[in-house]
Amino acid sequence: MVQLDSTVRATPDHVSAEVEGETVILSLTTGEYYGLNTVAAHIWRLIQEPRRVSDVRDELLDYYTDIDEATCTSELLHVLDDMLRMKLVEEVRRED
Amino acid sequence: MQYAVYGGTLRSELPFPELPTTTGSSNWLLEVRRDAPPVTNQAVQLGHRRVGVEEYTLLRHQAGYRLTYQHAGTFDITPATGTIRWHPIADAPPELARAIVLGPALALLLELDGRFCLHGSCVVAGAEAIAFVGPKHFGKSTLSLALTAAGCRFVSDDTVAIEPGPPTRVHPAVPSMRLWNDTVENLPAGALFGSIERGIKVTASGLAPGVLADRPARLGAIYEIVPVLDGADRAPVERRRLGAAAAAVALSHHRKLPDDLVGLEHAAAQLRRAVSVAASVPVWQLMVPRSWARIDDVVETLIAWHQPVRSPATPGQPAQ
Repeated sequence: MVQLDSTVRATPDHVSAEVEGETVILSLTTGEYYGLNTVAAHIWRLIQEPRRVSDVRDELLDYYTDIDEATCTSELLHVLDDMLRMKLVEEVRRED
Repeated sequence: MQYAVYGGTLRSELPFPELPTTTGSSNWLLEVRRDAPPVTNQAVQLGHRRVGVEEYTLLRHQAGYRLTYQHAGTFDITPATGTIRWHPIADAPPELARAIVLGPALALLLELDGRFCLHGSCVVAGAEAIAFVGPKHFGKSTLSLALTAAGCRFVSDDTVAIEPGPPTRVHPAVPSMRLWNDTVENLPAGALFGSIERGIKVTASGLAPGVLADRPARLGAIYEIVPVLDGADRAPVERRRLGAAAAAVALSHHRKLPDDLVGLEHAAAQLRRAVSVAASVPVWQLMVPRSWARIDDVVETLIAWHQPVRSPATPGQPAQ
């Protein structure tokens, strides 16, 4: 499970395209297609490079001002767990 | 002979009785070669499929692509020249070769030239084309036939070649249909087609004059068919518009050339076209009861949804 202090990034073996704020992804590993809604697509854009989950959460809180921290954290972890299960993201072990 | 299909011209030494003839320069050339197919250099297998008793394989090599069908032979496809060279096996049925040329071979050339090809059926209703996609047996051809019988213009069955645009358009394709027996028994296919050949499926060809769309049409909607159980309290047909990403995923799932045949590299290129089409054409799920008693109501509703919208008249001015 992804934790707030985990570092995650989008897996490299995919092709994605944006459409009306949403994102479509084709996994080149599994051949599966995925559609991300606007919030999940926002998260997806933020993790194209390795990012600490707490940093992603803070950036979302800056952007979506109508959501509280606890809800944002819970929903972000839920989305990232889904993406982890779909092999769209991977956890990165930081050397520091 | 030269034949009009998908908005282009196919020159072929193999006759295509299902296509209208035309003149002028050709976009594609079909040659039939009696020699063995040449050895290909640096060939990479992109995909392999088995459908029923038929197995087929697609390779990419230095000069183009090679599509091999177990019961028809080898089709060497050269995109640079638009040439398809068919090396038939002994006793290869010409109708199978024609189906392969009009299906996957031309779909591949069309996609390499910028089109997006769906496995579906399409008619012009009102001023715009509407396409139906879905798995086998879901009623794509049935809906198109029923709409054509109600006065819509037939565009294509099996392969819908979309020009992403703008504007996003479809071109008239092959004026024939392959139908299930119960469709022919319940709809007036005989009144629309000059020839009805019965087999495992019924092949209807020879579309009556004036029934085939004779020009490209703007694509107004794509419907992904979802069969539902009929019920007295249910509307004859309902639709739910898909969000943009879900629409692009749905279109990707209904491509004429499946990913396991063309490979993920080609699929990735087509994903961007699916996105382009999904951004410009509404994609709906169409909940249709599987009931012949409802087909007239379904057709009436679909036609009503796609009637041109009239501007309200203002005093002193007629409506446009």
